[in-house]
Amino acid sequence: MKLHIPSAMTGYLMKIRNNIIYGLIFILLFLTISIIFYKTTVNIAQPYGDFTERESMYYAPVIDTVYFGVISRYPSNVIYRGYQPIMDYLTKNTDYHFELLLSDSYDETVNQLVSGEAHAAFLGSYIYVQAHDLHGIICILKPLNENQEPFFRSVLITHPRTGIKSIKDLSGKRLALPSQQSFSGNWLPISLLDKNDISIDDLGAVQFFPFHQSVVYEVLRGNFDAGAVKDRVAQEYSDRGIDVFAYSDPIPGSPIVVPRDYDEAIVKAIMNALLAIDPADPEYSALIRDWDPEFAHGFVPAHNEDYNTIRDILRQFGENR
Amino acid sequence: MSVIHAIRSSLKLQIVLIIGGVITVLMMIISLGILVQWRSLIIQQQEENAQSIATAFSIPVLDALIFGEHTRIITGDLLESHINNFRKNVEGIKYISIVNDSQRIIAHSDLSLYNELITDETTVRVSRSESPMSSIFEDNQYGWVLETVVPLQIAGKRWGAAFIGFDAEPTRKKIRDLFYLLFAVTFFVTGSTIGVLYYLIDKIMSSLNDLVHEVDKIDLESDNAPALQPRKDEIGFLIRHFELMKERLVQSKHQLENAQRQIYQAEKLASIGRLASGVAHEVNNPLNGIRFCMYNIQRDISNREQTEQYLLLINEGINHIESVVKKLLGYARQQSRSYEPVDINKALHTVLGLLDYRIKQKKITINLNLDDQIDKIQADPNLMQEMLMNLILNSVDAIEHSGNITIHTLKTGDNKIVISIKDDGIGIPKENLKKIFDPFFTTKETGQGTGLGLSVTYGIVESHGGSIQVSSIPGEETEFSITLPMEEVA
Repeated sequence: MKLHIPSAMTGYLMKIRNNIIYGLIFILLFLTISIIFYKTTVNIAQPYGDFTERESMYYAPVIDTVYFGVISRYPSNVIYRGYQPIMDYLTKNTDYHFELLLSDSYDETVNQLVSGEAHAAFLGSYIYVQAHDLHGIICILKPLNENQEPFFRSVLITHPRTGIKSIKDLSGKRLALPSQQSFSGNWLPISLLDKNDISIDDLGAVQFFPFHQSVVYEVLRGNFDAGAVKDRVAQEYSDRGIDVFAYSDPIPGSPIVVPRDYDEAIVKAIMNALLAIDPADPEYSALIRDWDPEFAHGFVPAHNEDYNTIRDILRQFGENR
Repeated sequence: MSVIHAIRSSLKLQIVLIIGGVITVLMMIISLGILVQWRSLIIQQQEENAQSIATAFSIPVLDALIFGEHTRIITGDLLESHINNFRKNVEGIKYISIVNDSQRIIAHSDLSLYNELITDETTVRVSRSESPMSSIFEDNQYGWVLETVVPLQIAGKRWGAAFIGFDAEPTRKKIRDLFYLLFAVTFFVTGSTIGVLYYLIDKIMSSLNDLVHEVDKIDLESDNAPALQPRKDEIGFLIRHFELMKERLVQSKHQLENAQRQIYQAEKLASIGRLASGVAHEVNNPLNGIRFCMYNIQRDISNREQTEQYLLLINEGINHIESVVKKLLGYARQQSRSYEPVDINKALHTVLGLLDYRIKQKKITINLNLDDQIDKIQADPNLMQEMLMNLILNSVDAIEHSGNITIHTLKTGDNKIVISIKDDGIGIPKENLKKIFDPFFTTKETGQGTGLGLSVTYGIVESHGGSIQVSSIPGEETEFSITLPMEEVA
């Protein structure tokens, strides 16, 4: 039996068939394009971009290396972060390659100078006086502070919870101090105590720590009621809740020194490079931004007589003791 | 080819293809733009995260390396311990490698690689980079990896570099999900837009088709043709205007028919005027005969036999006059158009009878060669007479001083009849042959013709579904040949 389909129905079915074909063509095209884009999209491979390799002079020095000692006033990583940029500056502005030579103590740095292992060094003011007297170490430069003065101060710090307002309040309190070989962290506060009619025996406890930062942490932790550090360190932690309640007289800044048998060319190179720094010059201010704050305000030439102030204090302290 | 043909022959397909194509391309461009942008942002974010994590990882590594220089702690152990702890606490790390400044591995999450020297050129190069960098690649061992290298360096002092390989599959998954989302949105928006577009165009086209079908049904001959279905949309607007146009057409048609009728009548009256002298002669002759009979009757009124003979003659003359007047009235009467069986041969005799005087006056010989076998045709008898009158009058006018007019009728094989009227008059110049059917075209002197005779004849032949041809040799002969269908004209 033959099925009879009216012509109108046939036309309608044809139309549906055509519409389905057009729809399928559309879907097919869409899918094809999408698959192409999909493969490209999910392939996220990308090589390393362009980058700057370290300059060859840092990577493979072929020139004379000058080793620069640093006393262990701060932890090694802090020293690297504050002092390595100075080495980079010197390397860039002299004919030498400068490298830091860290030590575990103040004395080790002096020994490195004496032995010739170090060509120059950052010393503390107090140990310089000793090293000069004992080994003929020579100071060549001293740093300027933020007021462009070649001094620093030792400060006494505390936490507000202790209620300490002056040196007189230290009686019976626990005192944290930096290295015994640092002027600011040891002798000076003790001499101040004498001036204020407090003997060391009146203190609750006294303990020495290897780094200035350690003193700050001990006071902040509450293990000690007060401590003595360099003003530059106290300033660094001013936003951590420490109060400065006493200042020392201005002390000649920590010198850059060279051994007695120094290499004149090296000294000349160091002095020329560092004395050229002008903190007011935008070019330098950007350069020295990452330097340790103690050395970020420029340098002036140092002379042995500049440190007689310390000698006087020590002499006075010795007489008093 | 059939697809191209289908597209070319379908406005709907063309519109859908063009607009659909534009929409598809635009949607794809927009989606691709979004995809590229988001893909870039996702990768960039992952790289930044990776670099932040790598930088955080590098700080204690750097401290360990620095302290290791001045203490007796075993730096390698410290680093391995740090790597293990870091991998435990940070998800998605596939490997960590720490190399020294000589490109030798000093710590690695895979301890078997310890102390290996890096030789790959790119790795050696990037290990000297001064800032964190990232790369993404597919690795045979780890799969898709986002590798970040961070220098172990303080200012110009360098201890090496740390490489951290992060699992890049989550990044790919994010991008893949984004792709699927955009794909779905694009497909849905494009498909639905094209679908709606297709539906609307289909609707418009089907409305137009309806309109065309309705238009096909329109019959201007019938005043009662059904009106198109009213609609409220643009198609309805078109229909309304089409109805108005249809009304104007019907009105124009009526005006045209009226004008045509008036022209036909005017031309008929004009031809009657030209017949007037003949008619007068036809009437006058019997009248003279009647007057002569009356005179003889009056002279001998008692002669009954003679009177009866004269009365018979008078009656014959009156009948003749009546016949002439009747013919004239029959020709001149304005009647509405009606189709009925018409004997063309008889119509020819009637017309020739009306023209008898003029034919004789010009000493024209009529040669009739009529086919007795032709059937009657369905036509308007008045218009047929008018058509023949115009053509024969045209031939009579073409003969100046005596001549011949030959008239043929013939039935063709395709159920048509042919009427041929040929004269040996002055003929028609070739340049005028194309103009002779134009209204008001005449070469006769003013007052001799209206210039409508042949135009009216042409109209009559056309309205009866026939055709007319003319051939002429100037100075020798002219022949008009008319072909008419025998069946009824719709």
